[in-house]
Amino acid sequence: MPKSGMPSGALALLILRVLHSGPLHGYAIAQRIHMLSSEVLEVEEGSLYPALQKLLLKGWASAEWGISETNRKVRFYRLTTAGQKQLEAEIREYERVNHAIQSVLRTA
Amino acid sequence: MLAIREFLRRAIYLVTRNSHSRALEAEMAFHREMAARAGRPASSFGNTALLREQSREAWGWTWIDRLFQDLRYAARTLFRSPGFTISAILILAIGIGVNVTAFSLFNMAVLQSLPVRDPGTLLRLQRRSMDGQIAGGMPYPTAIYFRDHAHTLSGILTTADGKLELEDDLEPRDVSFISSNFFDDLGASAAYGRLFSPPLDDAPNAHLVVVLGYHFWQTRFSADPNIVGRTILLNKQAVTVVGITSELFPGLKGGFTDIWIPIRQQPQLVQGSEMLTDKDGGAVGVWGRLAPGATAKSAEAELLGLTGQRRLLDPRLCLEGRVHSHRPRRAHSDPAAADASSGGYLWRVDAADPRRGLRKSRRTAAGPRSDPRTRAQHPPGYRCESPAHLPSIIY
Repeated sequence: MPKSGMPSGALALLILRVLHSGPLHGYAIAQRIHMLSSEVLEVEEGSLYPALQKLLLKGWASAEWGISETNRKVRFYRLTTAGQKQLEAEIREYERVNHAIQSVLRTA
Repeated sequence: MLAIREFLRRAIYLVTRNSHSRALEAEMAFHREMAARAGRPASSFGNTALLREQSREAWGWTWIDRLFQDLRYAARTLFRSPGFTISAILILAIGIGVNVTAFSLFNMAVLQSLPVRDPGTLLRLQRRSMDGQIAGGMPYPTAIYFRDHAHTLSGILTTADGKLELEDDLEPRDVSFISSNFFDDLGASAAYGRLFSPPLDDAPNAHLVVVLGYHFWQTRFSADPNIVGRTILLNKQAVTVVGITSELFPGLKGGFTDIWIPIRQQPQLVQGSEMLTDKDGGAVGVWGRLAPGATAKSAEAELLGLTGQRRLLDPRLCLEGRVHSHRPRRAHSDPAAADASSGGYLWRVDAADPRRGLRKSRRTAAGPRSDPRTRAQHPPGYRCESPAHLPSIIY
């Protein structure tokens, strides 16, 4: 199956969503999104790390050092309470827009 | 509240951005390592430095790093081409210096009023001829006549500049001959010794005395306070130094004076000078202090009346057509630029010619042709010519 880039604006939502299940390091976040999208969505470093920095800046995620599955010291990102709220808000917003797009596609 | 927290996080990041940057570098390296293990080709990694920088940009401080990089780069480049650097610095320094100096002069000449006591009631008296020409000085006897008769003026200050030989110095020194009330009236104080006072220094048998300007005293006499009370030679005559002016007292001519001398003692120091008795020349600069309640307009009206009276007393006297008063600025400007149409309030101080006080004005039949209207008001054959550097004035 061909790999696809990320629709704009959706990356933060997806990162927040995969962090909802527990803390993850950057590579694991990209992998999780890749897997869960049935290998359709490919998250490049060039967009993943700026997005993670933005999450830290906004206070939606916090970073802490941990040990990876390959025994490397690496930063894990954890969803904060504010991030939880943001996730809910972004899901609502996504559904609203998705619904609108669907309506257009069905009736036009 | 959210914005404040975000700002705090940004501020903390700014302080700890080096360790943040190292952490980011480490985790991106880890990311590439894992991707390579998973079989991703190395060529797909892209420019790692650029990727790191794009990530850091989220914090909004990269401009600081870039600024310092630019500064370092600029410094290196300048260091490598010292010739260019030195010429650029010199050109900038000269350009800035010229601008600052020009503004300082403009500020001093136009924007600031005189740094003397109550400059608002000080008037410069000038003569204006029938055809509108203005002369900066007037004869000393006229100034004395105004001093003795004008009620709108509480005091008259007279000044005349000159150059005198001091001891055996090669260069003659700038001196100002001033009426002995000059310092008191302008609120000047002495750094050492005393300044002039009319009872002491106007007496007919008074000793020859001088006051030194602060800056001249510093450079010529090495700021020695013991000079007060000593005798120095001016034009080969012994005069006693009685005091030093305070540092910031500039007088009325816009520059610092080396030596101040009571104007009454001028004939003793300058042999043959008739400055104090010459009734025709524009020998001395005259300033008036408005009496309480008087205005420049009322003073001008009174002085005009007094001028008429003098003319009646001595019809052969070559007198001013009109006395003109205006408020002082410490400007030196071109008399031709004066706005004579502004109803008598000119903002002008005449440029002081250092030799003017020593030169006897000439009376001559030669001169520009006068207007028949003005000529008719004077005894035939009488013309006055002002000192050569001023426009010719026919009364």
